[in-house]
Amino acid sequence: MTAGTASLSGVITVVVLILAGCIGLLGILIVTSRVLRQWREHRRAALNALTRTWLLELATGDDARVAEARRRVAALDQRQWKALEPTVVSLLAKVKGELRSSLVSLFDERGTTAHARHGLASGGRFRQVRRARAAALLGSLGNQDAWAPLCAALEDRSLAVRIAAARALGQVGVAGAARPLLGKLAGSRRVPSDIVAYALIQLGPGAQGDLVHAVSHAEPLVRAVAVEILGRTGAVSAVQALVTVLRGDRSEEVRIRAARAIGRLGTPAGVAPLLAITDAGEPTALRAAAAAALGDLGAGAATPRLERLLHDPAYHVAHNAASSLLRLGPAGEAGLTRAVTGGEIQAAAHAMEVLAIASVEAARRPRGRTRQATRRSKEMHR
Amino acid sequence: MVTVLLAEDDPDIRDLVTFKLRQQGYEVRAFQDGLSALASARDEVPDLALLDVTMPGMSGLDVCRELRADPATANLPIILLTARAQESDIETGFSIGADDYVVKPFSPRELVSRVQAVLARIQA
Repeated sequence: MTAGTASLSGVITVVVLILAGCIGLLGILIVTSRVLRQWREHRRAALNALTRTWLLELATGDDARVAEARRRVAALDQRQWKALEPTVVSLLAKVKGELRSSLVSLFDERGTTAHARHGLASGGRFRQVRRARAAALLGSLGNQDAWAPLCAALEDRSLAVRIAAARALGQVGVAGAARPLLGKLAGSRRVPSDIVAYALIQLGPGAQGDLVHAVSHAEPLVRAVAVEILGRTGAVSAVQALVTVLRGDRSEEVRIRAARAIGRLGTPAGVAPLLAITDAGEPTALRAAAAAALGDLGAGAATPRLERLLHDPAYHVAHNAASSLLRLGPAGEAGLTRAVTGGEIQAAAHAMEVLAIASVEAARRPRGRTRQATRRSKEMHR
Repeated sequence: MVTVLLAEDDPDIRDLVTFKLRQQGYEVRAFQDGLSALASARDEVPDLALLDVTMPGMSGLDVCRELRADPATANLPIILLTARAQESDIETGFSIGADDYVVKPFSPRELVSRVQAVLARIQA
């Protein structure tokens, strides 16, 4: 063996030993971290076993037991409270009424709410997790006093903080947050539109004024979200604003959303504008949306037009017209039957398809409970 | 003793509902998934079933449908537990034979009142 070969062999041996050492060290690290995590989870579970029972006793409704459980939870030391806090926060989103109020007041008494407000105002790039957590907690608590600091947090440089703040504003439910939330759909430091939309829905009817104002915003995304929410929240007073969007918005997507929103609102004022949109001169996707919206709206007056649309060369327009006719009740079903026997193959095919689906669904419904189910469904929509 | 079958995958809600109903004197058989709840209902028919709409695997709607299809459980009172965002599921629930629904978040007191009301309606 030459000196060079021996030297190379020595280097390889050293490299192999170093690699083996690294792998061994990594293995020890993985095992140690898993053991530590399991130990922490066991400790948390043990701490929770007792305190969780007290927490559940808060829900009994028996005043003496509730007071005792409250006293015990309020007196927990910091270590026990830290273990229980995730469960309490989780419960806040799942209950309402006295129990929720009782849980919220626990956070106030322990100073956690004030601590979260302080945390929301903490500056610095490395405190973004603290700010996001603070925003999330204030939202879970529904802390209305925090709505202004939460609006300010929408301008945070961290996306995580802005998202947490937007969600929290929805949970807090102060209508004044609508405009700042809508503003986050455009410009710099945006928030994803689904987060903003859900928060706006949670704000309720108080936000309708700002939403109506937003349907004429310069940014199409802002208009689209505003239109969508007005339809989904039953803002019947906004129907004229939506009709204006349907007739003349620059964006086809926004017009399509306006057609769907008008259908969902179900007011008679929407019938004529939707019928006008089904005309051949309009974009196909918009005409299809209008045909579907007429069914959502339940406009019996639309029956003759929908029957004619069964012959439309655009598949989705004719298909949606058939589905809408079915939803219009006996008059619509009579129209579909006429199409089946009318001799025109395309119209008959669309009509037969929806009638077949309807008969299958009717057969799947349990007998004897149909009347009760229908009554309940009507009560729900009332 | 009146027996309530509960299917709810969220442990917080399951514990809370179980605790509250037991406080009110009901016997509760709680399960974290729809399949186990359905098997339990077939083994021994409860007096009422509380079913969460959204569960992994077999949903509350699936369990409701199966219970209604079986003559032994076809008339079992069923209450659905559903999140606010799933209100379309409520209509589906009624169409397959649910008797009532409770929207989350809910008040534990309200839930007990609904259970009592449905049981009273069925017994009337």
